[in-house]
Amino acid sequence: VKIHDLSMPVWEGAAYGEILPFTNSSVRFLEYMNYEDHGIRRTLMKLDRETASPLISIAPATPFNYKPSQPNPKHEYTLSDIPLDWLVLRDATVIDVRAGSGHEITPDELEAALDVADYRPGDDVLLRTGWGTTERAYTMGMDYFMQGPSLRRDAGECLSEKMDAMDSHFLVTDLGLLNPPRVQGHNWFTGDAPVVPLPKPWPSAEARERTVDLNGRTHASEEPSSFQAIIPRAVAIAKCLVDCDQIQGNRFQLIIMPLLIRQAGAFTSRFFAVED
Amino acid sequence: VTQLFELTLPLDREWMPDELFPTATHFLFAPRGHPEKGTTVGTDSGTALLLPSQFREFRKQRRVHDLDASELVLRPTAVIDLPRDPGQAIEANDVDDAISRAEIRRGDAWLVRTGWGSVEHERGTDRYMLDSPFLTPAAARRLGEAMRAVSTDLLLVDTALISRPDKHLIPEWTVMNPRPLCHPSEAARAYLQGYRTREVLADWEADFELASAGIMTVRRLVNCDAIPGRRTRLIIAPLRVVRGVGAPCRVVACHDGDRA
Repeated sequence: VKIHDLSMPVWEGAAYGEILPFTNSSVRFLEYMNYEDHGIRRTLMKLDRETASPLISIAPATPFNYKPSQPNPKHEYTLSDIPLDWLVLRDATVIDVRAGSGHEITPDELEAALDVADYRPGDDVLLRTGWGTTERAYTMGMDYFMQGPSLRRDAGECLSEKMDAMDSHFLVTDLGLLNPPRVQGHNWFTGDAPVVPLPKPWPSAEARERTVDLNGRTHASEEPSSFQAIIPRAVAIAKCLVDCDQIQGNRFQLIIMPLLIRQAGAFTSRFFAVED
Repeated sequence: VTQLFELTLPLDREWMPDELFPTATHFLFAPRGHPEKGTTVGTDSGTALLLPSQFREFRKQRRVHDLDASELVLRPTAVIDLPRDPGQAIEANDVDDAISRAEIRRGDAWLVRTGWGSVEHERGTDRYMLDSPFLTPAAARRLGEAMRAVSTDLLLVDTALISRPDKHLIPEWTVMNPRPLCHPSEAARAYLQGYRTREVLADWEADFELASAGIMTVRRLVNCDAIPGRRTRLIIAPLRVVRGVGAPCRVVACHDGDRA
């Protein structure tokens, strides 16, 4: 049995915490017991729901807001309620759409990949582009996300329909951002009127001001989100996985281990692929 | 058919039973719009993995991000039964007896099951921490020796603590009335100014003994009584913290009879 770790590491100042105003926020570590004074290390870690490789449900703001992010969801689970046998050693299929810098996956590309995939009813889905690697995340900084590939909304709708028909529970992907950066970062780090120089994320003054401007929306683009096209038909979606090319076959067993936070709607998780 | 058992103490924003000492970090789960939006956790919040490198003497040893998936996922595990009463110590001879009854194979993780993690603890009290069974330093030394002898380096326990910090933290901190909050309260930070290496090593001697033997530990497992038999396989999923000496983790048992 081969076991592959697909989890993005957590480190202070990681770019996933820096690029957006409030979908995510900075990873900060405070070492309050240290080798020099205490002979032991203890660290306070400030994370966010979307730190590293997050698993995101239909109601990501639970337990503070149980309202689904889209109407008529097929499933309504918080992360702590998902049955263990949906998380551990589930059959999964690889949907391979190789995509490099700046590429937005189209419906045609997705359908071509679905045509050749060994996709069986009940499978979880790994949308693998080859973009997500630990080394690239360590070295590219914010460009890892700003220049990364993504999924167009219409391709997201196509994938959503297929996952619904196959009764798939989870979509996991090595895309840094599922939405195109031009959508997610519109008029923040890109767009007609990007904020220059780029401010710090929440709780910076600029991020707080942006919540006023957006009035409840999560990004400033008029284009709808590809994430929101898929989430109503899935139990949860995970993005920002890494090193998925370790998986040699086109099928594997998936282990998803969100940190067990009571009633959380989204949080950093570990992802492992098991191959015989 | 694989049976799955959740062995993780949930992180609960309303109350965490392990936030007794100033050495712990308050678990905060804050909503959007809050200045601290997101989550604050400590190295050893809830069910947590701690590495030998938590101690200065072993700081050159590996960190959390160095752990290979094969060490953490579907890890064959021997369940070592050591039933304890509240507050009862595990002594060195108890370790020998329990090991002799266990079904241990080379390279196994060891799960010491006292029953403490299966007790329903009243919310809002200190009993989970203060009445927890614990390892004496001699027992920890014996465990470390025995584990090294079979080439294993991972110990899991269903107790709240490995050591009982009764030299300083219990007599100095828990007697304060009203008791201050854990880190990052002002009182906790002030206490830690005087809680130096000598005091740490006096309080956490059993932890140090295990670290000296190169043993990683996972503490605060729950529900271990549900695991049938004396062998299982575990999934241990800590936050993948770069250069971390420990991290909160999720632990699940996958029980499929003889395959473990």
